[in-house]
Amino acid sequence: MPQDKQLIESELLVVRWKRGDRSAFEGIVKLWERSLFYYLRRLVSSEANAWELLQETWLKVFRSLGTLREPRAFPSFLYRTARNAAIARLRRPEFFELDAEADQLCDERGADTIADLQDAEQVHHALEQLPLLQREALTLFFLQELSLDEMAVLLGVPTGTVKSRLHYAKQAIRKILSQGDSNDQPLKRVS
Amino acid sequence: MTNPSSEFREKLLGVQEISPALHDAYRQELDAMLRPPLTKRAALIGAVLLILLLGCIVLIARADLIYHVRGLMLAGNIALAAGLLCASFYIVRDLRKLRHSQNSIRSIAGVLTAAAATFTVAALMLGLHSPSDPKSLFSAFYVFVFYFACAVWGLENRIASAELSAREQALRIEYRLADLAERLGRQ
Repeated sequence: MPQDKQLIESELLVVRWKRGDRSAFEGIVKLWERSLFYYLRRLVSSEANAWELLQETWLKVFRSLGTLREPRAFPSFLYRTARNAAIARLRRPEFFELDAEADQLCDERGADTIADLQDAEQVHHALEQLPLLQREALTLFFLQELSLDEMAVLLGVPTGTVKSRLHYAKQAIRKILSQGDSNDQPLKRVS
Repeated sequence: MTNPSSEFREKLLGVQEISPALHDAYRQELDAMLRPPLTKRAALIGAVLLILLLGCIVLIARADLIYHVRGLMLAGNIALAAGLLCASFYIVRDLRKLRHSQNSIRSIAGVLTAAAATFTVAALMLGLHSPSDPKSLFSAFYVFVFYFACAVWGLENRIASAELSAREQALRIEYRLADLAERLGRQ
């Protein structure tokens, strides 16, 4: 489903829920479940943890959706809730500390293309070998549900930092993919 | 910075491995969560409100019987008691079904506003019959304050509901246009 259409449908479902249509929440879950699970799965090491976090996220969203004033901001609200649930559960220091290498400002924007990142399966496996912050930023970028500014708010960093984090993540993933190619063997999943 | 295509996104999501057992367990938990029981806090608020409403009905009935209220005042009291009884019904219904419904809150606001309006009209008309009686003035004043409070509450609910309704219609049109654009793009 194109992203514009998904965002409109999402907003529509949130408005329906706010008007008292309880069945709309099931539609919201259906619409966002896959991508949210994909995002959470990139943050945690086991699938069971990702499902638990997803369930926890829905519970929090269900309880606090009434406080969301602007239905259009639902994707940011959803990812923020999921990320906070993950942080609370994992208490991973990487979420709070700046990764100096990942956040170096980058001046090579011209080369920042993803044209060579077309094999979804390889990219999927390579993502798991990236440092957490880069993996998170690149996953959000691939899911296309948040703008760079929204990503910056979610990650708690300036937009420039998101850009540089994405740039270094792409460089790193290219390196991983080229190593996989030269070794001529499938990339192993790190869990 | 170039953006990945929607197709790539779908492929990436499709690659994600999912354990059917874990997914089923998650679905079961989620289904239970989407049909939540009434929270203790909401149930307590409902019960207190119900007692208050029923108490008011008893007091109105008592006043009507003891002071032999007749005519317009009786009509006003009956309208108010009917409104309160109707609101009580909505609360009892939600408590019995163990759920908390936004629609019930809107209905209660509407019913109370209508009852208060009827009661206000009755009190004002009563005042017209005996303008020199201070009781009429006090009665009209208190009733009008009650009506005003109900009207503000009801109006807020109506405005919020109308805004959401208009937005829902606009989004439905927007969604259809996006759907049409997608289909035209495929052809």
